[in-house]
Amino acid sequence: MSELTVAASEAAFEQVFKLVRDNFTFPLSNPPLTGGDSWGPLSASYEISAHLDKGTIQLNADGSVEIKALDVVWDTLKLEVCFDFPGFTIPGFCIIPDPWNGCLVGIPSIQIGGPLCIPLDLSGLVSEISEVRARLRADYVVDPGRLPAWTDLEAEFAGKPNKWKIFIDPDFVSVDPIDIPASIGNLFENLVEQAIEDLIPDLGTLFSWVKPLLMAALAPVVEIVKGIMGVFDKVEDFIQDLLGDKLDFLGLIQTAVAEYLAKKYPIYEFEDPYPILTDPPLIPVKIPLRNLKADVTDKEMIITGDIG
Amino acid sequence: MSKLYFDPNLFSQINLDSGALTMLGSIVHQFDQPGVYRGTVRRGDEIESVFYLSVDKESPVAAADIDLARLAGALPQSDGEKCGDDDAREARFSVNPRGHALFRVSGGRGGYSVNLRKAERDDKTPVFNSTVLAEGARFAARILRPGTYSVSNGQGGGKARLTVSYPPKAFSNYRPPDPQQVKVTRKGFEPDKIALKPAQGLIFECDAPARILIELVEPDDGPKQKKSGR
Repeated sequence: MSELTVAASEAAFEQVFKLVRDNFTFPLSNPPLTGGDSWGPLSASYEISAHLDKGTIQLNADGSVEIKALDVVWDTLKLEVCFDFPGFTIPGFCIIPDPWNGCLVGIPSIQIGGPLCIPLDLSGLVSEISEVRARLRADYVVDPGRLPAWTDLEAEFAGKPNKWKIFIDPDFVSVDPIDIPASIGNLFENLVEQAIEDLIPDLGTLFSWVKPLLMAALAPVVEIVKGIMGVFDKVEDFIQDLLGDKLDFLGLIQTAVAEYLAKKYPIYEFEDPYPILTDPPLIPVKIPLRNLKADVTDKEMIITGDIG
Repeated sequence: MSKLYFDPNLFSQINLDSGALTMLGSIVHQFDQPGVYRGTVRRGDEIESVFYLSVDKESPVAAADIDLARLAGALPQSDGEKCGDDDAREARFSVNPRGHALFRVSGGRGGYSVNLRKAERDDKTPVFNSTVLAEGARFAARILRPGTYSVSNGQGGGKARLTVSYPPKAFSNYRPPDPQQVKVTRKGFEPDKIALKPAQGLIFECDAPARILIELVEPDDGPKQKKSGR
């Protein structure tokens, strides 16, 4: 039978969860995470940071903890999407047709193109972790700064005692696809349109006719984007795929949340040996804790252990 | 970094001259007498480059694509071209007598003409000189700048009026219609009123000696300019 039992009601556990949630940042330290990748003619670089908000927690009779509807607020979500713009074509034509084989002598097309980069600031976008299912886990952690020869008392005086730490250990973290509103699809289209306009250099008033000619030759922006970026019906679908799949933000946030809960931020911690009398000038009186376990019922969290 | 790559000569050379080819003008000629021809690429009176064209019944080539800018060294050379000796730089082309030679300019400021004669002396075979297009030759032009042009034949007289309309609105996926054909006869041009869309091709078929000159008379700078009365 356990010699030590500590219990916390579901309401108390909820308060603990809020502390854990509010302490989460992605990445765990400043500045925002940067990176990028390329896929054939398309490349993207990013700068991201996020925190968690809202969410509900539920304790279950089977010993599991469920966190639901946890918002991921992307405080920084800046992208730069670059692609080889297929550009403008001054089409060629056939001078001498071949009745059997199309064209005998023709003038080739003249291609005008170049790389095009679109900056896209989606900071403030909110996505959702639909569910985290976890169990509590008690880990015994030897302070890495503690010297091997130290006694428990010396470690106590050095501020480096060993600890039992109780973590929320996720079995799985389910992250929903980042929902991109249609307004962002429109914004992206406008940015592409503007970038193309900016691409054509100002050749002076003598050549004011060049830009209208080149711009007229372009397909609608959504068709250009589709042509470059794949078989998406809507620009927002492309952005969703870019963020969630190609750049794997879903995977990044999933791993970050799972690691944070399981390894970085304990919900409780107990020094070992546990101080029971610490009033100076006497040296602290401490008792060793053994076999600590953490569990939940549908009403409360219970931590049990042995003393001595 | 967004940057557009294009040759500024594409837009700065508004007028066209079949005797001084630029990026927007090309000549097609059929060499029906077999043999080896020695050609020179000229800018004005200066010879820029020499090449050989073999007109051979055994040649499978129906269209010899001869880029005068490349021959004249006006474009960046590939590594292979840089390493070659003088002999290797004398370009050689071949074409079937039933085929055609296309003389064009793929980049740079252009202004080239071409002169070809048989490498061995042969007074029976006429010299091909692109400044005087012979019967059967074709001059293909692309006119980009909207406006009104005069078309004239520097060899035989005759004039035509050419208009190029203003392009449609941006992102309208505009594609020029098929090229128009114009006959060049001793009397002039048929038709003598030509209406083109921007960048639409125009092919002159020569039934008489010709040097086609296309010159801008009145530019069309679009709806805004017209409204302000300029």
